[in-house]
Amino acid sequence: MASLSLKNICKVYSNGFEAVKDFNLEVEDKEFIIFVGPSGCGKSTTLRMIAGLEEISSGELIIDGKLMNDVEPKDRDIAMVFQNYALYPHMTVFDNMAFGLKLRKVPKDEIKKKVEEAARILDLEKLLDRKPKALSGGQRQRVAMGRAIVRNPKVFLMDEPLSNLDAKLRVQMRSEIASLHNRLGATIIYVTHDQTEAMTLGTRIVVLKDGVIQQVDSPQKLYNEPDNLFVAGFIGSPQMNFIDADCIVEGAKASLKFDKHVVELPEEKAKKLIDGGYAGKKVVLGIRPEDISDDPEVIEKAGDNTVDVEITGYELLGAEVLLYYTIAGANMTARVASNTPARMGDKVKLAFDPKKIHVFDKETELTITN
Amino acid sequence: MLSHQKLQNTLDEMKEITKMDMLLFNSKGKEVAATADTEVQLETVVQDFCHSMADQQTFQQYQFFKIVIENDTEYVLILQETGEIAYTIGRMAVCQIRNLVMSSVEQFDRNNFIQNVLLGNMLIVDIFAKARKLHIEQSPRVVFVIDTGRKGNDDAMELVKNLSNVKTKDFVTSVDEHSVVLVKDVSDIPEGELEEGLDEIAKLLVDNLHMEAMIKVRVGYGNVVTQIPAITDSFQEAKMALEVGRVFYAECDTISYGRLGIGRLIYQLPMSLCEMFIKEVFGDKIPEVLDDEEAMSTINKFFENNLNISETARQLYVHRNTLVYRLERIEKSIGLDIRTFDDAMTFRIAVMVLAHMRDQKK
Repeated sequence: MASLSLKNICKVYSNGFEAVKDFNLEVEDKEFIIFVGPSGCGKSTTLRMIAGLEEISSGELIIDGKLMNDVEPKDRDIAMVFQNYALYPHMTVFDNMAFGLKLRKVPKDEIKKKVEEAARILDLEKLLDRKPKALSGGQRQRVAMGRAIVRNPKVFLMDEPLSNLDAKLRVQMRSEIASLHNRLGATIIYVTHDQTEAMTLGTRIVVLKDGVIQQVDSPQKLYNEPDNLFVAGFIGSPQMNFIDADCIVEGAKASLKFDKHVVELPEEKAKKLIDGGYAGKKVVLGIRPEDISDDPEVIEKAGDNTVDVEITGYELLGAEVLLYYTIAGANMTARVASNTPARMGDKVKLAFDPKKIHVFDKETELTITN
Repeated sequence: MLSHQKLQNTLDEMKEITKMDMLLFNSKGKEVAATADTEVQLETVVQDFCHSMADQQTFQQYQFFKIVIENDTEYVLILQETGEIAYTIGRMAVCQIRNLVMSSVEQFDRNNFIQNVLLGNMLIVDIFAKARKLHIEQSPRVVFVIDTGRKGNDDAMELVKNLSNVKTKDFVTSVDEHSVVLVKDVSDIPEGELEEGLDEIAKLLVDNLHMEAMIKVRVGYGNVVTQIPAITDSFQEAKMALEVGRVFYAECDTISYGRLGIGRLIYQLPMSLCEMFIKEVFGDKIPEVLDDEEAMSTINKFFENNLNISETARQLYVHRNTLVYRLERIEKSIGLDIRTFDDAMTFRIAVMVLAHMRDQKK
C-alpha cells in the first residue's frame, strides 16, 4: 500500500471555472480518508485528479515518493470504484472480475489466482459461476469491489460507491467496506456527500466546500471541535442549532443574549470571547440538539441558562425524541429522551449545556470557541 | 471476415469430440486450417471438386464436402476417413462451419451497414432494403459517441460491447480513431423516464471506462430517433454535443445534445458575427481582466450566487467592501457593471462567444 501527498493542487477548467483551490493533504499508508461536502464542492474532481482522469492545473501529486502529475492512469497503480458501476450482463462473476486484468493482458493463471483470492476476501467463492442477474444487490456491489481488489493496487479510490443502493443495503455495505479496509490494510480515499458514511468509515475526514478544504480531522474532532460554521452545520444529524446573539461582557464574565434569553458562558469560553475583542459584537451561538435538555433535574441545575419555547414539532425516533421549536427567528431542534412529556403545542422549558456551546464569528464564520 | 484462427479452433474442437482429422481449404485450393498434415497434394483436387456438380466426393482415403455460402463454394472440408460415420460427421461439421461463417458475414455486414448509416453514406431506399435483409427493425434509438481522445480504442470498444446488448439490439462500432460509437436501442426505457435513463447510460459508460479501462473519456449523446435513416442525425447531434461541451462545459464528462442551452446557439454563430459582437461589447481591445484568473474566479462566483454581493463575499472569504472594490475595478476594465442584470448577461454571453472564437482559431 502507499502514502499520498497532494501539494497546492488546483483545478481550473478552460472556461475559468475553478473546481479545486490550493488543496493540501498528506495521506498516510493504510489510512481511510473521506472527502465529504455538498455537491459541486470539488471532492470528485480531486479524486479524479488523483486517478489521472482529470488534469492537474497546478500543484503536485506524489504517490509513494513519486511525482504522478504526468503519469497515465493505468500506470498509477490505483483502482477505482465509482457510483455508476455496471456488471457485464453476459459474463459470469469470475469473468466480470477478470475482465480488467484481461484488458491489461495479465497471464491466465495469474488472473485465476487473483480472482480466486478476491472472491475469498469478498466471500464470493460460491458465486463465481453465476451471472449478474442471479445475484442480489449486495452481491453485485461486492463483485464491483472485486474488480478493484484483483488489481492489488496501492490506493483504492471510491466515488460514492453506495449512493445507488437502497438504505438498508447501504448500511450493510458500509460495514463490509469498513471490514474490507481492515482485512486488506489498504489506503482508501472515499468520496461521499453522506456525512453518516463519512463519520462511520473514515479515519480522517476532509470537509470541502466550493473547492476549498474547510477542515481535516478525525470524525470525533470534527464533530466536537469544528473549525467554522460550515463544518459545524454540515457534520451532525440533525444539524447543529445556530442563533444570532450579542456578546455581553461584564468583568471576566461573558454571556450571549438572544431574544429575551441570556446564556452565561463558562470561564474558558468567556476568556476567548473577551480576548478576541467580541464584547458588544454580534456572534453566532451553536449548540447540538443533544446538548439541549428538558430533564427537570438538568433544568434546575442550569439556573438562568434555560429558554422557554413552544414545541412546533414532535418526532419519536424510538429511543429518543426530536422536539422542534423557534428561538429568535431560528429553527431549533432538541434531542431528548423518549419518555419526555413534551408534545406539539406545549410550552416547555429547555436547558442549554453551556460547556457544549460553540461560538462563531458572524463575519468570518470561523470558530471563536468550541 | 472470419479469421483463420477461429476456423482452426473450430476444427480442433471438432477433432477433440469426433477423434477424426479434418482439413479445410478455400475454393482456390489453399489450406486455411487443419488438424493433421497430409502427404498428398490436394490443391488441384480441391479446385476440380469446387468446379464439379457434386456436394460430396470420396478421393482415396479422403472425403470431400463443399461449404456453400450464398450460392458460392467458399470452403472445402476434407475428412481423413471414409465410411458412413465419417460421412455423417462430415455433414455435421459442414453445417457448423457454414453457420459460423454466415454469422460472421452477417456481423460484418451489420457493422458495415451501421457505419454507412451513421455517416449518411446510403440512400434511404437502400437503408430500408438492407435493414430488412439484416433483420434490423425500426426502434427508438440514441447514438452515444464516446470520445477517448486518443488512438487505439480496442479496450474501450471491447468494454462497451460487453456492457451492451450487441447480439440483438445495440450496435458498437467506430468511424474514426478517437471515438467509439454506441447505437443504443432505448425501447426498454419508458418515455417519461427517457431523459434520466439516457443520462444514466452515459454516466454508466463514463464510470465503467474510467474504472476498467482507466482511460479518460467524455460521452456525448443525441436525441432519440425512431427511423433507421435518422440514426445519422442522432450521431451528428452527439458529435456536436461533444464539441460544444468541450468549449463551454469542459467540467462535464457527459453531454446531451438536448441540454446544450445557450452554448448550442453560440457555437453556430459565424465568426464575422462573433467579431462584430465582441467589438460592440469590448471595443477594439479585449480586456486583460479576462485572462486574470483571480478576477474571473470572482466574477464566476458572483454569477453563481445570482449577483448577490454579501453571499459572494462570504464564499470568497473577503469583506463585502473588498468585493465591491474588485467589481468596480472590473467595471473600469471591461466597461460593464456586472452588478446589473443586463450587463451581467452581456458579459456572460461575451465570455462564451470569446471562448468559441478562441476554439475556432485553434
